[in-house]
Order: sequence, then C-alpha cells, then structure tokens
Amino acid sequence: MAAKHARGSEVPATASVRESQEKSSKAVEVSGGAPSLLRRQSCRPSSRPAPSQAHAHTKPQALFSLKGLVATQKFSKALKERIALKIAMRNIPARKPIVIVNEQVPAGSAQPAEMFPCGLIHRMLQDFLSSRLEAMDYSAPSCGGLVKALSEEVKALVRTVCPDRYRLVCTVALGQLGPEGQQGYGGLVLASRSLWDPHIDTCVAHTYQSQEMFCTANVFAVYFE
Amino acid sequence: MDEFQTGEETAFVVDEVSTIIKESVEGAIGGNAYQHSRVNQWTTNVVEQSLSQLSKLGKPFKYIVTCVIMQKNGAGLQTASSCFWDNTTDGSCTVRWGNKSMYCIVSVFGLAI
Repeated sequence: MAAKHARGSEVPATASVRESQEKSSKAVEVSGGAPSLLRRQSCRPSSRPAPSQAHAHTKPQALFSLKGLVATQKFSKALKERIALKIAMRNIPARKPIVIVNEQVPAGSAQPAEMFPCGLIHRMLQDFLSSRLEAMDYSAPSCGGLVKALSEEVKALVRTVCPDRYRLVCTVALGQLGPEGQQGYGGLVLASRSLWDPHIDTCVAHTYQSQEMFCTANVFAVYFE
Repeated sequence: MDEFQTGEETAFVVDEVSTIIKESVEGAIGGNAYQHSRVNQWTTNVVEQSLSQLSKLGKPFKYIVTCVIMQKNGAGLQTASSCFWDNTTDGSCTVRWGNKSMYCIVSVFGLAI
C-alpha cells in the first residue's frame, strides 16, 4: 500500500498491487534471511567451541550471497525513501522551533519603558555645535559666558527627546587651539568614568573642532528607579 | 517606597568627596611634570582611583567622574556643566589642581539611587 501511495498514481489494477506485495514480502524474506546469516557470522568469533567445529562451519558453505546483500540494501533504501516521503507529506516539522533572545537584560537591572536614544542625541549634538560655533573666535572673556549658555542649551535640547525618569548631566568644555595654544590635541586630555548600571545608563559625547578652538559636549543620562 | 533619612548618610557630602578627589589626584600625578606620552595613563588612573574610593564610601549613589589634564602653555580652557536632577538628593563637586607644568580639573557628579 505504501508503494502505491508513493508512486502517486491511482492504479486500481490488482496485478500491480500483487506485484508490490510480492516484492515487499521478498524484501522481508531476504532481509530476514540476511540478518540471520549475518548473526550467525557475528556469533562465531565470540563463542569458539572448538577450532575443528568452527572450521566445519566455515569452509563448505557460502555464508552469504553478495547479491542477496545488495538486494537487501536496495530495498531498504527504497523503503526509507518512501517512509520519508510519507512523513513529509504529513507535514510533521522536522525540528523544534528555536527561540532567539535578542536582548539579554542582566538580572537586577531596572527595565525602563523607553531607553535613552543615543544615536539621535549624537546627531543633535553634532548639528547644534556646528551651527552655534561656526563663525566664532576664541576670546577669553566672551567664551566664559558662551560655555555656560551652551551647556544650558544642550540640556534643554536633550530634554526635548529625553524619556521619562532619566536624569541628565551635560558638560561643555571649550578650549583654544592654534599656534599660541596646543598643537592639535597635544596638550589636553579629557577622560571620564562612571559607576552606574551599564544596561540603562549611558553617555553621549561629541567634539567640534575649528581652526582656532575645539568644543566637547558630554551628555550623561542616568535612570532613576 | 522606603523613607530614606536625609541625614549625613545618604546626602552628597561635598567636602568628603573633594578630599577623596584631591588624594586621588595627588597619588596619580603628584610630583610629575607634563609628559605627552603619559597623559592618557594619568587621566585613567585619576578617574579610576577616584571612582574606587567613592564606591568604598558605600553610599547609595551612582557616580560620574570626569577629568581634564591640560598642559600649561598659555592656552585658555572654559568648562561648564548643567544638570537636570533632584537638588535635594544629588550633587556635584569640582576640584582644580595644578603644578608647574599642568592643570588637572576633576568633576564628580553623584546621583542618588
């Protein structure tokens, strides 16, 4: 019956059915035969009654026919294919669905409803600094007030997109470059480190540089549970 | 929500923090002259030492420590910071330190948990 299904055509002729039945029975017979023969062969080394007896078993008979073995293999292969087709047609999933967990939230960390948008803030800082400082020259008295104003403006800017419950610290450092001052960044280093929850707290920084001066804006966002 | 005692134990004490910072800076770059190749290491040491001493205080705070080391060569530097937080529980402290060849400015921001 299985053979009929696999062929895909509904041939009601009994002759073909009988033929397949005969074939399957033959397969069973041969396969039934071969394992028994093989079994006898495998038994042999484990239990050696007496060498004379073993010799009596081995020499005169042909233990297995190669043709028979090959035929068994062919039939069993065909059977396997037919069974596989049957299963595939039943639509049983071959594997269990795998669940992929994208975000590994560490245990004990708070989970805010909305995370701080670092990329957006970085772009906003870039635009803000370049527009504000494009045509500015460095001069000690005026830049003192400028820096304070800049830091307040950055804070207001970030607050427009800042999610709830986040506290902000915005720092701005403005320094002089050029022949009188440092060569490039040679004379100045800015560093920061924080003790916080790295999953939810974050920092965004951007440096704007012109011929005469540089300006670094830092925004630290800390979540309040 | 638990009621915290707003006493000495859970407030941001500026004096205590500034003492810690001064000690960290002295320890990290105390008797050295400005050397461009070592500045990176110095800033790292200053912030790390400050942060470890602050965490040893055992207070319920999150800390942000920033450090600027600058060579004394006549150039100007301005810094400012603005914070959006709770004034009663959070605070900041800035320490300016200098020797013959360089300035070091360290800011600590403490935000209550």
